[in-house]
Amino acid sequence: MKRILFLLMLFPLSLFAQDYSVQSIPADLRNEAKAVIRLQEESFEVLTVGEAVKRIHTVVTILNEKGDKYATEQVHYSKLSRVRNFEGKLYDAQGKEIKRLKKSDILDVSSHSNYSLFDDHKVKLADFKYANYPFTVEFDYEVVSYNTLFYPYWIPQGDEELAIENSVFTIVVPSSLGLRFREMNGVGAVQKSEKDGIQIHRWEVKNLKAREEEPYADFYASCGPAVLTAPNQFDMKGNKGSAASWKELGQFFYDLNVNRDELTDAAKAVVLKVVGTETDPLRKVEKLYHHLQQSTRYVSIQLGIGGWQSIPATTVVEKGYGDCKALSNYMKAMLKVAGVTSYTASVSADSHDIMPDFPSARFNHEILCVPLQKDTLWLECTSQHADAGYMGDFTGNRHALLETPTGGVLVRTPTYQKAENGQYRTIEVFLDKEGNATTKMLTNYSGVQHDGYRSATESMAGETLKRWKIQQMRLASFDLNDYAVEVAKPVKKISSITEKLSLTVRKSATISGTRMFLTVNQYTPWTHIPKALSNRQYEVIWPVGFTDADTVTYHIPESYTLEALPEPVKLETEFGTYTAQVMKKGETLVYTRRLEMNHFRRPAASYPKFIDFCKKIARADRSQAVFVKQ
Amino acid sequence: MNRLSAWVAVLFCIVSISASAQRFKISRVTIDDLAAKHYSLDSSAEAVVLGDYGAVEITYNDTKGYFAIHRRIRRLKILKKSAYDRASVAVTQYRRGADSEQVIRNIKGKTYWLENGEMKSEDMSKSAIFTTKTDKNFYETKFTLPHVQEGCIIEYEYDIISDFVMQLPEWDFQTDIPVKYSEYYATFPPKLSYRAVFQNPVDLVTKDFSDNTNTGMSMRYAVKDMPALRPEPYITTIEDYKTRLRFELIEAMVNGRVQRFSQSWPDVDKKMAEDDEVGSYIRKTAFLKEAAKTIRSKYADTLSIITEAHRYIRTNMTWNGRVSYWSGSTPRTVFEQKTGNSAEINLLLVGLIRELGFDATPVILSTRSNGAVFMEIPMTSYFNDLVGLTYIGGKEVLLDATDTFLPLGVLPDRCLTRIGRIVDSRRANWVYLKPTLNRQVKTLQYTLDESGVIKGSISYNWQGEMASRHRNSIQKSGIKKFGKELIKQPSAEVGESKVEYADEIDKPLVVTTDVSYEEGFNKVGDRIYLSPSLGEALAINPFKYDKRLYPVDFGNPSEEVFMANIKIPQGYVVESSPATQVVLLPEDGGRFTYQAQMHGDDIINIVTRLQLKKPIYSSEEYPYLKKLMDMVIAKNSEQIILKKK
Repeated sequence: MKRILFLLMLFPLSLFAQDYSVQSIPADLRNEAKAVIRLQEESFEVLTVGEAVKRIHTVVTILNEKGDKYATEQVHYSKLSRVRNFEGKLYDAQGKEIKRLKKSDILDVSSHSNYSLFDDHKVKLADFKYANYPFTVEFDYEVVSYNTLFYPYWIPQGDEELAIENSVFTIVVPSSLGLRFREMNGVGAVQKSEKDGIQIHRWEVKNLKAREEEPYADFYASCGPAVLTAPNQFDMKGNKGSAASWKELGQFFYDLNVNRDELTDAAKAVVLKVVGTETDPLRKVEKLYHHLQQSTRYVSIQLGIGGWQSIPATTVVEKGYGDCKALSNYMKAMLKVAGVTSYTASVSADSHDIMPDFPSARFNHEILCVPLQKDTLWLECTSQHADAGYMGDFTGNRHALLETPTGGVLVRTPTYQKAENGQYRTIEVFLDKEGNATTKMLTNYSGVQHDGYRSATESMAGETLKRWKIQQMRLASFDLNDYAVEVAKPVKKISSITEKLSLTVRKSATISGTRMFLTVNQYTPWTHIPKALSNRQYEVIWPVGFTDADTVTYHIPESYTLEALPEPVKLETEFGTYTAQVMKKGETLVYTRRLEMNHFRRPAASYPKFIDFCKKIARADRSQAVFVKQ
Repeated sequence: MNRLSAWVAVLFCIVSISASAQRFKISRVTIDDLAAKHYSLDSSAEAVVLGDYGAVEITYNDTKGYFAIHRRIRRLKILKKSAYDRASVAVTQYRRGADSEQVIRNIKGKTYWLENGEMKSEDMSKSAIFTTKTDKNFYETKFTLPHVQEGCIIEYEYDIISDFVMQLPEWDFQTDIPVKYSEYYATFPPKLSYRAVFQNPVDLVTKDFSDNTNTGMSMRYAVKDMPALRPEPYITTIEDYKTRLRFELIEAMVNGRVQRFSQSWPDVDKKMAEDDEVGSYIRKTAFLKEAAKTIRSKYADTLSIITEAHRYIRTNMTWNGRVSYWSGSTPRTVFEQKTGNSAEINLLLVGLIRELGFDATPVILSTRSNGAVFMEIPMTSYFNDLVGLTYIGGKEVLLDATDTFLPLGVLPDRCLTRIGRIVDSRRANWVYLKPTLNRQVKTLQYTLDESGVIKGSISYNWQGEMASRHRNSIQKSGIKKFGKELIKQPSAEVGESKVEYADEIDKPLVVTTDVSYEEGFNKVGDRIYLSPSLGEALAINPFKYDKRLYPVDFGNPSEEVFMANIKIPQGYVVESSPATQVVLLPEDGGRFTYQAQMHGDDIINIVTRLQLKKPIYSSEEYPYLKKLMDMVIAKNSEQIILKKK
């Protein structure tokens, strides 16, 4: 009986007939929106420490084809959860019901098709295949979960082009468990009530208009009103833990994987053989990391609680493959044999960072941290080519939760400074009297600027790599004659790569009448101007600094004499500095350019100044030297 | 009709099936194979298929009837770490029920590698095999091989027991990595007769064929040293350039009677014409009589009536984005729901035109991404899209109403594959899917101020398929955003944009955007140097590679006109401006003209025109096309020099 009462409390609005006609949407909500949430009721009810039910009721009007994704509902589940009462209805523009989902309309399939992925994650998928805009869909479903590690992050307007008429979030927990939550971006304060040992928390937003997307903004700052929730105590299929602090959460992950890093005697012997007589811990790590990269590969396998628990190190030895947890755990096992302590560490890779002051298990990747006497070494164990200790754009510059025997510790992965993320170029150009050029270019890419070249080099060679480079280049008309790249030895654990190429460029300089025009920066021009915004709301963030430095020597054909040179340019701003100048040296012109972009976080008001900085760089990069025929 | 009956399962029941006999002579893996660091014929290869062996054996037994056993054995050498994903394999199976399914059996895998100069090997364990359901009737079996490392050789094999004997899967002799050797063996019982067809044939190293009334038909084909397939820009689909083998069932003896399957185009035509969801569909459109009556009452001549019928369907129906050559629901349901796939919408249009008393027929075709239709080999399975055909004044007019903004007679991009098949048992034939000219006129109108400021407007005028594409974008993102994105030069200050004829599809679409530039030109002493295109002309040659294997298939012929009207500051004269130029492609396949003239003493007028007259250029014509583009770009980059009087 108590349960039924709760249901009534959770969905009071659903008891009344609604007007789902498009006319009933306030006009300002339709403006610039691709879809409008008419009503969304999300409730999350924690029944016991190990069981929770999520109930969703959504009514959304799709205004145009950009909003199509809201006409499809995907309900994900796995071995640890099941889906109940999945229903859907379709309404036309007048709000008249024209279709109901039949059971056979709901596709129940594996949620991944990537062939290197083996998991039991499934999805129930419903799609009305309708396209007569505008129209409205309504979905209802429940997911019962036996894994309470994750409580919802309620971000009703994560998509800027989605307007909200009304969205309600309710979370119900036993008072004995309590709830941790974080209200953000002006969401109204919680309405809280408590009765019979049950706490109810409720939030609601109304009439949120579509927003303009702001580039270079922080994810959490720009996601709109939101409430993040997380458990204190949780239970994952009999594995109990607490997420109340990073220490406890880290302890849980550590305990879940304890004793999975044991190796057989034969495997231990291999480790000792690889290490040999080496005594320096750093060298030991490097040797074993190299061994890991040579003898294993990444295959994602996530079955049951395998999304959080590693397969044993012995299995990795046997098969030669594993996922991020398995490979990190295996590396840890090998280091243990070699007498080096290491800790696995969870990160949110590739996307936005976790929220450091709100403990929650929102991670998607695992790496290995090796604290050494002088310094800490980070290892990406799923990469077959990364240098030991290097953390590129995928995992660098963010938080990581170390899983140690005495609990979790939140630390940061390395952030490389602007000088370390470099593109250092020397170019020599021989111009003929028609303006065609023969060019030789030598470039060193380091840090995050090296990442793309590195993965290209590791996955392509010969003609294929050359064709890739040709596609990268933005010259009007050219032939790439020679192309060679070489991975350099890391300096201070920062990876770099050297690239050598030669080109024939047609009409590198253009001739009009008796004059020849030469755009001085042809190889590293800045062209990106951030879009203007009428009223920026959020801080401007450039997460990783970099340095581009070019020295170009132009050999000018004898028949031309210099008439005009561009003025030197020097820009010093809160965002970075830019200098460029051209000097005549005998029969040559020497162009030097240096752009240092800081990693910065500036107030919203400085956005126009940032646009101006980009514009000035772009303009300086287009400047020309002029020559006259003798 | 259930469309998947094209995959006919001849008989029922599950039986136990012994693994098909080994019919290949496969050499052992050698130390030399393992020691190789590169593939000698292609040093860029990340992996090479050393041997690819496929066999189909069609047999009959009393419980199961006819069924096929497809055997696959593949040996692959991994050369680079980037090829590690190739050691995880996914095999898709279609299963509609016990009598119409494909089931994988006898999966085996083995990895060979060198350790201290010695060959090691390990078998794949059963735990590395995993099957999931991926779609309503589709399952996927994945497996991953153990101990994969650079230089290793992996070998895997499996059988697929399939109830579908009418349409056999194709055998690809080529893939995205080089194939050293590929062999296919087929054996058919006497009562089934198949035809084998090669696409993009090459020299065969083995070609055996035998046909015996008692034992049946068997054939074996093998090729070697096939290069990797590399996609190029402006092609239909890479599948069209692959060397592969197809089989087609010609006839079968079922229950003592010879049953013929599609063997000639008339057979295909008859089947399509009688099909409830294709040819017969258009006879169920009586509910359109009302609409037809209204149209009749408003218009008198054929062109106006058909144009109105086209407008009626085009604007009342919304395409759901799905391409199909058959309809999944009744005409009335489709009409009431106001949305449907390409066949459903276009069949309604054909139906409406017929209700109006004019002749109209469906036309089935294969879209660009679906690959070519081979006229020599009649099969229904090529087709995936449907348009219509009618006649006005004795002339063929193609019909498509999936795109709200495409005028009568113009087909969408995806249909530009040159041929379609008329669905009509009496008049069935090929119809030429005539491409239409894509025309763009870009007009720059601006005034130079001595200070360096440029003010003016950039205007686009589009005709043809291109106009529809842009009308769609404007509808989706609004004129403000669309106008902004049209301006390429990032330093431009973009002002207001306005659109003309956004919905009048019989007129060209015109979009005009105001622009200004703070430092629009370079001023040195008493001279002004100006790039007249303001960075808005073609600046990068789209043809970046020096060689081309496949034809350049644009789909449509095109014409691009660029005009600039430039008002120069008072007190300046033109010292030098670009010379007139005309460049022709061989046999007048295209041309580029450039002309700069003075109008009065302060207006410079530039007109350039690039015509690519053919929708498709052969790979032999590629160097000329690339060179033409080079000349266009060089000319576009020339500057005007003004001098103070």
